Parts: sequence; C-alpha cells; structure tokens
Amino acid sequence: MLGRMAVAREIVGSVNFFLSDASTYITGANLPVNGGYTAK
Amino acid sequence: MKPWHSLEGKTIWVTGGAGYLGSAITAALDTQCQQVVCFDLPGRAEALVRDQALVRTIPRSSDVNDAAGLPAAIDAVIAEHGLPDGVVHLAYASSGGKTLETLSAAEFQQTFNLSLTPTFVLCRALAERMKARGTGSIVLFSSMYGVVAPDVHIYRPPLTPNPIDYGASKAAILQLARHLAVHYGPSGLRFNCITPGPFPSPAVQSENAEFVQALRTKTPLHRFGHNTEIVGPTLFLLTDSASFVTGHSLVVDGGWTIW
Repeated sequence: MLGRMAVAREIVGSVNFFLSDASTYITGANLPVNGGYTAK
Repeated sequence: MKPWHSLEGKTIWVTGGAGYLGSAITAALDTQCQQVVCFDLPGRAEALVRDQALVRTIPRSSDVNDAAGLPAAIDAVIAEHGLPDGVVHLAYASSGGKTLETLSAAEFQQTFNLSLTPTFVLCRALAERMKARGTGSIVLFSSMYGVVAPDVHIYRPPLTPNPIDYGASKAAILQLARHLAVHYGPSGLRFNCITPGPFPSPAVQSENAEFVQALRTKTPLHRFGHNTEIVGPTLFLLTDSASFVTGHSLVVDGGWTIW
C-alpha cells in the first residue's frame, strides 16, 4: 500500500484512460484506484 | 506547462522490448521519453532501433532470463544510463511444442527458472535502488492464461495448447506484483501488471487462420488485439496518471476473461 490517501486529481488519469483510445482493447474491466488497498 | 501524465525527461527500460508487444511499447516510448533502454536477445534490440529509426532508444543485448547474473547487469546499466523512472518487463520464457502428457518436470521447472525467478530478482534489485529516490513504476506482464485456462478445443495439431508452465508462471507474476506493491508502497514505488488477451503475432495470423478465427469468436469484442493497443495501458501505468494505482492487474483482453 502507498500509505497515503489520494487527492482528487489522481482519479482523472483513470477516467481519461477509459474514455480515450488508449484503452480500445479493454472492456468489462474493473480498475481499482485505491493505492493498493485491495492488494493485501 | 507539461501535462502531469507526461513522460518527458524520463528514462524507461523495456525488457523483451523488441518482441511483438514490446516493439510497439518501445517505439511509443521513444517519442515521449528522454531515454529508453531496450533489452532483448542478441541483435534484436539493435535491429528494432535501426528498422524503426528510433532516436532515443539504447539497445542492450542482455540475458534478463539469467537470475544469477541480473544484479550485476542491472548495476552496469544504471552506472551507464542512470536509474530508470519506470520499467516494463516483458521478457519471459516457456516450454513449446509439448503436450501436457509429454512435458517433463525439468521443462516445467525451466520456465520458472527463466521467467519467474529473474522477474523477482529484477524487481527487487531495481526497487532497492529506487526506494532512496522515493518514486518508480514497474509494469510486469501477466497473461489471460495466468487468469483462465486455455480452451484446448481451439488448439488443433500442429498447434499444441498453450503450455501449463506458461500459465502457472504468469499467474505467479500477478502475485509478485501484489506482494511487491504492498512491500514497497510506503517507499513510493508502484508495481502493476498488464494482463493481455489474444495478441497473435503477424506470423501466427498468417499461418493459423482457423486458430485466429477461433480467437476472434471467443473474444467479446470479436477481434484480436493489435500490438498498438497495448501501448496506452502500459503508458498509463508508467505515468502519474496512475499515481494511486498499485498492485493491480490491468486486463487488456477485449473481454476474454469476463465470460
């Protein structure tokens, strides 16, 4: 875990990524933006 | 002002960087980074740099499958080109051409010796150097076959089903990423996986029409992936766009694993 909480702008990259053509071969996927909270 | 997801000024390493997926990633990074170090088998990285006229990519013929030699090799590259800001690790090995019934224990073990152990050694060596700096993003490569098993019905002779050692080692990569993410998270380092679905190489596409059609039919998007489609997800994880994403498997599979 990153040992800190997020700031709001750290969600922006993920939203942009899913909306853009950077993710054309991704569908049905879940992208946790949680600093590794669910990795342990 | 440069965008906060920029790779401007960054040094990125790509292992297996001249392969089908790796070459697309290396070529994209070449346009965006200050420096790319591309590791591949002898001659391959050099050929990629030459053929695609890459300008910021340094080719290295290094055996990143050699766990024992890796720490010294990594130190040598860091001494020459600096500590990387991010690393994309695609290099792997697996058995080939054997059925499950004929695969020997030694061949099974070999995949772990050449793929999994070097991945651990590489990640730890880099993380131990990066943690003093307090930043770093490492992107490992798993596979859809680290998540689900291959459907044996789409592999007709002369093709053999994707080997069990491959899938087992790719599943282990997912856990390496989670463990390393938790261990090095407080030091500011991020570890994630790309988990690709069907990305048949041009050779497979041209030689196995029936197999490739089966890949299409089994994928919710009803097509296989092109290597340029692995670039966006990889760059996302490398950059500050993903500054709060760690320990994650980003599945890039056209939906293969959702049904």
